[in-house]
Amino acid sequence: MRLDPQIRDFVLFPIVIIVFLVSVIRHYLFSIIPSQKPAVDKDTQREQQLLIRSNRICKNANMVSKSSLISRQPFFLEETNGELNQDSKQKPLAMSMMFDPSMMTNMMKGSMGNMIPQVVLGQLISYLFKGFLVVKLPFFLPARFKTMLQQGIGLSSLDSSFVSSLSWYFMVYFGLRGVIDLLFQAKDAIAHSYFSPIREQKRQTQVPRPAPVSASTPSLGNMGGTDKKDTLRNEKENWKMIDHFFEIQNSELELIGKPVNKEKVVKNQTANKTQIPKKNKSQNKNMKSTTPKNRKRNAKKKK
Amino acid sequence: MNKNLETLQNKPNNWKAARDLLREYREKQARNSYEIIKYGLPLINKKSQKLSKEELFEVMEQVFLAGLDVNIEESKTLLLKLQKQFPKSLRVTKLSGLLEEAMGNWKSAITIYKSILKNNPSDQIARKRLVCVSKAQGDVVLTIKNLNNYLSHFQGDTETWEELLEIYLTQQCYSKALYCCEELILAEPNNYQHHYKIANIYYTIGKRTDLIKARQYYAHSIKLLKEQNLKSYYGLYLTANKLKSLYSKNLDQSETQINEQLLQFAADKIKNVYLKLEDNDTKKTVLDFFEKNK
Repeated sequence: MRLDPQIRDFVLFPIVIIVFLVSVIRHYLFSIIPSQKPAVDKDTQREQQLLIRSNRICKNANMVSKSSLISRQPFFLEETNGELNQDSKQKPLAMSMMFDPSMMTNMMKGSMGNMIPQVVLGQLISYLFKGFLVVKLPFFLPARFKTMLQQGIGLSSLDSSFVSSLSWYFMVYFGLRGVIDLLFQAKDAIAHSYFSPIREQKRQTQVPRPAPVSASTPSLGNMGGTDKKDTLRNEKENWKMIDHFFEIQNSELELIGKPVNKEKVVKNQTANKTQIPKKNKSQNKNMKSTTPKNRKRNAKKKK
Repeated sequence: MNKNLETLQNKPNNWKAARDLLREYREKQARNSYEIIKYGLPLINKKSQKLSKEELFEVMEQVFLAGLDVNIEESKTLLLKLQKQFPKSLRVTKLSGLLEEAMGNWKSAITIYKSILKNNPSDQIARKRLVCVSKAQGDVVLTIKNLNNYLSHFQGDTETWEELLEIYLTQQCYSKALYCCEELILAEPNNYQHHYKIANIYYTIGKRTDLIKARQYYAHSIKLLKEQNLKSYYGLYLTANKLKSLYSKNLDQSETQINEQLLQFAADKIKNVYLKLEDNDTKKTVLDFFEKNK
């Protein structure tokens, strides 16, 4: 069975051309409609920066002396004024959307801009070119591909390597996206230095505000208010986990080839969990556990 | 030498080379103000139709910034053009603030930045510029205040901690400088410069415990960068020497031994570096110095 060459000229190519032109028009429409970046909230920003700093202090605490580390603690951990004990001022996403409708419209614009042309074009194509077989693939395909390749045609006896007009439209629509991106990228790269409008659109729909930075809780904090509180609490946990050992003191011994103070490292690992002295009573218990007796006991337990 | 720059020197009217050169400078954020003005101005005035609109405005901004260094009159005319094009733009408002700064009109610059901050309290650049204005005025107290204000919002900004460190050092507030320097180390623990700096501060404070910390940090700086780090070797030598001469009574036997070894280690390294020099006078001075201090 062969396909009429006129189908190629009057169905196959027109579909490609229509889809291409619509994609170009869509691209220019987006660049005309001004898309505002959502302004970053002052408190959100401050909190993010706080988390960055707190996080790197916890990560690199061994690089500064113990007294320096302790001098930083009140700022973060003090009972009433400590930054990590404050309630998060960030509004949860749903709330901020309610107060800031522009976020909503931005998201709508992104998804609608993709959806509407696709649906309208699909209707148009199925109206104009209903029932055409457009392409015959030069290889055999199992019958399962029928639903994908022969949309709009319900012939069960037809060989599954034929492609219907509607399926061809979908293939072209998604396939051309990369080509369009390529075509406009070079130009946009100059205009927007880093993101092309297409990409920026995507970025805006996906991430209405910058993702949280705390490395300890990468999965949290994307949505909802309760998670935000958790980021601060988790950060507090990080502080408790600090197992301080002033690493710098070993460097000079390494330089002159002396055996490094390994004893201290071991000591730290076994007994000294959570050991930055705090000024409340629960601390005393911990302090006791670092007496030599207990240390030995702990070491034994570990074994 | 830069390829575009070379073509431009042979054919100064080659607009393509000029465009590419400016693009490159923008990407690298290079501040070659003289060249940017020299090749950017003709590009804007004569060949503006060759550039896409978006790029033209970027070039105008770039040339404007370069003009602040070299030719302020050009900057003024460019700013007028930009303001006409984007009357409400935040970016252009910041540029006008820069122009006021360059002309030394501190008060109007401050009002511009403050008005920006009123509407966008999270604007980082405006806050930074306020610090710059106070620094340019030479008002140390206000600069420190502004820096602290900035840091209370942007605690993660390492550059600003460094700026604050430098200012505290000029005022000899060593304990505060120490705090800033620790922030730098916590942020970038693998940068040998920070370790060298904090060692310097500890050395300057100069009590016995501080000197030991200084010695440790110098050693760590050397550990991070073994060659081309003469200043850290020298710091190590001086610190060990000071510990030996001032506090030898307070050190126990193993500590004295370690100190002695470090002293010897640093001295050897420094001598080795200078022994390779061909300049005989310098070599002799340095070697004599070590002989004397033995």
